[in-house]
Amino acid sequence: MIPKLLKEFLTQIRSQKQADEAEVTFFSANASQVKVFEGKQDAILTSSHQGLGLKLWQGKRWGFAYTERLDPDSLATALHLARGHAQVSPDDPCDRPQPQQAPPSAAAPHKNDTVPITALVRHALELEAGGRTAHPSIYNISDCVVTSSHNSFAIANTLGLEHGFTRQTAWANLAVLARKSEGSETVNPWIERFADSVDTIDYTGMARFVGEEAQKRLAIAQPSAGEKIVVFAPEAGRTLLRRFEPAFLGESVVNHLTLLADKLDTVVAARHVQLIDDGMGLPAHRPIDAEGTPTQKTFLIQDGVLANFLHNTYSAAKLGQKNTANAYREMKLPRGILASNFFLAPGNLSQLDLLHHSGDGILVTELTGASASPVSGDFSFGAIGYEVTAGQLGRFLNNFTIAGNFFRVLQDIELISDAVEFETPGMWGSTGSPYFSVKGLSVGTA
Amino acid sequence: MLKDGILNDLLEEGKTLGADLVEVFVEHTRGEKLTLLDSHLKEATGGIDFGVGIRLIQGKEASYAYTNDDSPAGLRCTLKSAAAGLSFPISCATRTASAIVPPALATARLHSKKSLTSVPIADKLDLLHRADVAARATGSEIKQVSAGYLEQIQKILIVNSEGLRKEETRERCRFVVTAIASSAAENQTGTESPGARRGWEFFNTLDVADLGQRAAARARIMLSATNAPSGTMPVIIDKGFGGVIFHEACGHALETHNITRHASVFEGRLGTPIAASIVSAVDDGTLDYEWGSIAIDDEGTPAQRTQLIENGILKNYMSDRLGALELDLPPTGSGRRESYRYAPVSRMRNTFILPGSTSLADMIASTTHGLYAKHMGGGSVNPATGEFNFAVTEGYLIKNGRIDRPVRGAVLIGKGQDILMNIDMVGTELGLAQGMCGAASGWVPVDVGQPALRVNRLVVGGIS
Repeated sequence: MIPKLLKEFLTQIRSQKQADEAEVTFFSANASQVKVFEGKQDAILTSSHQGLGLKLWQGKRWGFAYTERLDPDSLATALHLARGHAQVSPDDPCDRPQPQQAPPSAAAPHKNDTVPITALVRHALELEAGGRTAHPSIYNISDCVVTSSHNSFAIANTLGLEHGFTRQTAWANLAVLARKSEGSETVNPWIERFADSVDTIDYTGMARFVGEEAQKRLAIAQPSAGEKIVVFAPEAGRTLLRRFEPAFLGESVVNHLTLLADKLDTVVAARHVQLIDDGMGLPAHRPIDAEGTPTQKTFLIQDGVLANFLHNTYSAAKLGQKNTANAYREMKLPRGILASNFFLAPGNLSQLDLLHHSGDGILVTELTGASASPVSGDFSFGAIGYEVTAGQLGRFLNNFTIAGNFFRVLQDIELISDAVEFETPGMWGSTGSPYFSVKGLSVGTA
Repeated sequence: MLKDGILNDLLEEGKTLGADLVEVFVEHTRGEKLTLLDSHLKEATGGIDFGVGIRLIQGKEASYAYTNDDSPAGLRCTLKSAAAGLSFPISCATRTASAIVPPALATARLHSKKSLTSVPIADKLDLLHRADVAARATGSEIKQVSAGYLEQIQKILIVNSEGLRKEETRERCRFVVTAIASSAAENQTGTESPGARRGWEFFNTLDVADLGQRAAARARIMLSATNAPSGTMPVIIDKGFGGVIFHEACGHALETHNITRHASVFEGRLGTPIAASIVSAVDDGTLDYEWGSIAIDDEGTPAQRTQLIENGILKNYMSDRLGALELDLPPTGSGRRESYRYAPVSRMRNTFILPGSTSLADMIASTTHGLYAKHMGGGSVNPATGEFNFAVTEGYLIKNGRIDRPVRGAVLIGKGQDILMNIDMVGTELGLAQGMCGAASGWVPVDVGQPALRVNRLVVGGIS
């Protein structure tokens, strides 16, 4: 998976003693995307893109540079930059290249690597048409996009490591604008679905969903302010988890950026809460992390107890803990950590039963805004959802706020539904959430 | 960057494929990023972004393709990929799309006196260390400081089949310092992040130690702050980054990209009042050395100052080429993109409310009970519905015309069309602040700004 040119480049670095050890990470991406509007193609995008990161070690120091140009002069420039960065960097003995830990797996069969644009256009037009007719209140489609992408990652170094993986994903977005009548308030239900191929996405189901949501949102209300039981639907739950994932990363512990740093093996959540990261699971299975370490399943919280942080080799070495194979790289990022398939484990209640048992409260379906700090745990989001009265869904609630502290939320999780829904996977992972209820969060309203 | 011969061949071939317009965008960007954490250099990275984007426009339809492969064969393949996306069959007719390109107006001073690439890394690291030391010296509650230096030299070349050929070199730099104050059970943060369209001389205007101290001071204040209440109340939003409100609540809804898709609450509102009469606002790409300033936009149109609102009346949208064609308006030099990986779309540049006549002291004195939002965080908006929200990162209650205790965790929500009408006081002193705006064509550098202003009723979400 590593181009021959780059392997030769590594060999040259070694033989010319330009560095003690060197490593290249190679990224390539091909994508096609179609946006339609009012029954016609609106914007088409096709892309072919690659780049490399070069990391090298001189003694206990390391340096890094990147380039999207792979000609010899550009590689020489990247080498020069990386050597310069190594010269100013401090000794960092915990950051070392890794040897091969697992043989490269046979390249996975590619399903339809190159998807004709005409197929995406056909599906996008079908999706938009379905959205427009899904309910009489829908007067416009604000977004209708179908995307197919094929990405690959490869790593090789002077210790003999050579590995990589690919990911092919297709996804579709549909957002509609609906209102009861002209002049009344507009609502904006939307949905995103993904699959291995654009041909297997359930476009009919997507249109049906936005139609049902448009109908439910015609009667708009505001919640009363105060502390309430909040049920997080999967989309809102995923937003919350994604924002606070950094609190569980080894590098946050190393850098004193998480309140969980000294909480290993202590109770940090309700006893029935399991928070899991699974590199071997779906939807974003991958054989290795960005350092070539075979992936694994890790319990971050097990039975309410903080069991592990997520690590790469660096943070694991710094903290004397076990590497969890969560190393993450981008072309411009020499070292990072990211969850893979990161999710709150399901419970044993159906979605309906969970609502019934929730009593009076609010079902939050979406969170918006940027006010969430993994460092403090505090959050304050814009939200939309539905009122829940005696366990029954009621009126649609628009543009209110919910506020709280994530570490408190973990302790106050009461009910959890029995199915996890994941978001569209990226190259490195995905976040998933079931429905879950929290016994008290502050609701603000107009 | 690419030889003219190759570019001309691409344009000619694109015209034979039946497009009204063929546009080629070539980009070469050199970047560097240094991060200090725990008083040590945590990361030093840098390198080259390079690529070519080809756009074909046919009527109001656009197809875009990009690649890193700048060989003649690679570029022809990319052109064909773009052509495959057009819905009309290939024809031999050559048509020229007409576009009204305004004359170049006053241009900003944007040239660097001392290029960032000529400065040794040691000098850049020194900035980070000075901010780090100053932040930590403010008090023992400061347990962690992160300081970052960013530089970007972006070279672009835009050619199109109408004979346009424009180039620009954009040198930008930014300094970011975040301090974390901790007590036994909690952490709070404070951040300062100035940037400019300048070279190394920008750092002669910056007191990085003062930035570190201010970030630390905000973190320490928030450590002792109580939770913000929830409710509807008057909110005074301070100058500078408070302008993120106008950016989110109004700005995106004035981009023609949203107008032409009927996804803006301000569609069809040109010439009508959309704000209180004391409100005037502009989007200006021509400010000297400002973070969001450009000489040309990413379609080659000269930047300009665009009056958005004048005395409450909506005067102009921000338009890119396609938006201008569709709405029969002149382009405003607002076609922007993060990089060659995106087709350009109408975006903001330096967007701010103009000064008024009320001092901040008078605003506070005339407020019986409310919130003083001294510093804002980021936010988001749905242009189709006007609904927005944004975070207050340093807030104070106002009681009986005086600033009371600090509060944290407040988020302001509402609708753009309402907040503009509810501004009842506008301050005298304009402040601008730098940020990154994410939308359909990626992340672009922008200034937000305003004087202090008061919104007489706004929903504050906090902890009850």
